[in-house]
Amino acid sequence: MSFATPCSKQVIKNALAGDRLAYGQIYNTYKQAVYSLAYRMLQNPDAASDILQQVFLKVMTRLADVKDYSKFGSWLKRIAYNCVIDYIRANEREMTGFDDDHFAGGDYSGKQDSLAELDLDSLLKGLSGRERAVLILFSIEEYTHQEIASELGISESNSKQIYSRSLQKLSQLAKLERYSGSKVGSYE
Amino acid sequence: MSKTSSIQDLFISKWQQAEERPVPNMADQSVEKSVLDAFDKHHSNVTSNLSKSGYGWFYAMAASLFIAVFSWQFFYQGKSINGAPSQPDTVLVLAINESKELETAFEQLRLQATSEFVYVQKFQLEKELILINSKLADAYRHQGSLQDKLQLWHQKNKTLSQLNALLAKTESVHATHI
Repeated sequence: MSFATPCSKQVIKNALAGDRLAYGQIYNTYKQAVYSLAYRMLQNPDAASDILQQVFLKVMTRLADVKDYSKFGSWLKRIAYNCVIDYIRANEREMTGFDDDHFAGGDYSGKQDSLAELDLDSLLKGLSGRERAVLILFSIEEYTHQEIASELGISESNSKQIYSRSLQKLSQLAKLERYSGSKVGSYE
Repeated sequence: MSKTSSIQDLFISKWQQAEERPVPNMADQSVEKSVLDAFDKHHSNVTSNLSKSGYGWFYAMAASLFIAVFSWQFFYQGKSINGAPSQPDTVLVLAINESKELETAFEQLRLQATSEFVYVQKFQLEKELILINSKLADAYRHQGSLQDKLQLWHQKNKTLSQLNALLAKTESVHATHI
């Protein structure tokens, strides 16, 4: 189930009227999408579960704001992103990823095709929370750096720097994986 | 530039290909239950002033009072021979007293109307408080170490302070986004 899965107008209306089963249906339709997104962004199962709960508590109090029922999934995704961003802002120091020492002395000329051998979570684990957020919001969600800067409370140029650094790290991670023959997670 | 865009393209394709991660069963059950309980509570709040949340909080306060009484009892049992409390005991007493004051303050604030944004945060902090109360009850029941109890009282005070701060400035709290 993804955020693109439609949710019927009637189910949303029933939930708005206090129908527990209808709200349970909404939860079950989108829980996996919310959890996956939070996990990818935070790389922490406990934090992802907290976000899952937080998102559905927020949705519960904001259901009346839904205007376009056909875009319910997108609306919910936006709430999920905002919860994750709030979490990253509150826990920045704990979400450091691999420090620069892991990449010290390396050049960035490694072939990018080795990147294809890594799975998504192995790549994301090597980035800090902020780097993941900038990379995902810019590359996947097509936010502008200005929007990202405003969401994360940083400057636009800082967002660009973080984005560029995260791409460099991805490239380096792929290279380290290629030459060490070990999983990226083992650098932790 | 072309190199960075090829890394970005590879990343995007990985993102699109990656399968969604299922919610771990334990987390799924507990989150679903707490979300649906909150949903019931939220809707019963609308229809009744004497809501389930009121009863829930009543039980939490009763448990808290129970713990306070027991903690004082244990404190006096644990007095040193010359009758004066030792250093850790004194810190514990201070923490318990602080807790009482914070609870009184919270009691005055908790029924005021809150925005939806504050409601979610309040719900989570109250949940945390109930969990700490239950840990405290366990610590006293099983005669846990003074250090553990002290730590729990500090946690409780921190949570109560957060709740009070949240509710005290409820009018000025605005969600920056949904």
